[in-house]
Amino acid sequence: MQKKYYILGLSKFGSGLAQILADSGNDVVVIDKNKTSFLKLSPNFPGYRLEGDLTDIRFLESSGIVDTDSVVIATDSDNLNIMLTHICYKVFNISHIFVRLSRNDKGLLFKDMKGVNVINPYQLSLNYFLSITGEKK
Amino acid sequence: MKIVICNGRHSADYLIKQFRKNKNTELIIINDNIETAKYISQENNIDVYVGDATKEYVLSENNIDNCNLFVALSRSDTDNYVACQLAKTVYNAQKCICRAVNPKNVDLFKRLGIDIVVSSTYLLGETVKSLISVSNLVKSLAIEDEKIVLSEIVLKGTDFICNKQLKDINFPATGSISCIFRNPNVIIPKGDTKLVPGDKLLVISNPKSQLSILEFIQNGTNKE
Repeated sequence: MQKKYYILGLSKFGSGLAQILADSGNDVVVIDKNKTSFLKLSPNFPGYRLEGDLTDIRFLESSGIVDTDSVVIATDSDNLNIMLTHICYKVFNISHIFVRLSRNDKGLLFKDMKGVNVINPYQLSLNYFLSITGEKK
Repeated sequence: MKIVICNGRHSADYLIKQFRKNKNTELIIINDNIETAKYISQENNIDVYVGDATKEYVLSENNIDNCNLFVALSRSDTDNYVACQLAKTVYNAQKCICRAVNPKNVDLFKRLGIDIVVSSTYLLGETVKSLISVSNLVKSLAIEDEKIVLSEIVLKGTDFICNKQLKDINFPATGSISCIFRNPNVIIPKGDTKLVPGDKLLVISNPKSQLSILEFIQNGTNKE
């Protein structure tokens, strides 16, 4: 089924994900503040590219993000990712929020927020190591 | 009183000096720039912790739990926001003050749960607004060689004459409310006409008393 995704921040993770989601037929909008970041996408990327400052609430409002059901937040700043998660949850009421955080402690700020999923590379690497080596936590 | 001040240079320095005047204040100072930390420390003879106040372990090491006031003064609105949210939700700070460089963030951050958001640009805007709106005067028209002026005034809920009947208002003798526009009606005022917020009044007066009539409408003072 075709879904609508907003992807905030074209990190390696953000751009790779955007490409996959768009190629498989989803409706994808990518937002980044640097024009050069869009070069990470293939030239025939079927989604919509939007250049703008994610810290500017007016810009976010005008981006149409309020109508999406899923958003992936993956800028290179943890603090910005946290703030964007709060905005998407409390201001835009988006039901599925996926946020990438490098640090391990900040899930603290999403307590009791239903529909917010934290993707933590540290935790994932740790779990993967434990699973392939059979070591215990 | 337990007060935490994060980042900022001159603003932090100023606040420390202010808070120091009260002897019962316990100050916790955190700064992420080592040079600024040295400056604040020497200037005020106070310990400054060098670290990033948006990190949970930094706040935890400084025992900020249950502080009465948490102030975030960095130049990044995002960092200030995250520091305040951590202080509030994890460390139970009673009041958080967040500095915002972008005035648009004032309303946003309040909506997201920060108690007090301060933006110098926002304050500047409010000051300018209050200066230019000393009166509710919308338009003013001089007729008969400027011997008579017709002023158009929009009533605010806080105005002295608002929510009163005309007969209960001792309107200055130098002017008169000649007409009230209350969308979509035009009302010719009588003694029992009650004025409500949003009413557009057409007031006729002589030019000299125009300002004093405006003042009367706002706060009931009559200099005539």
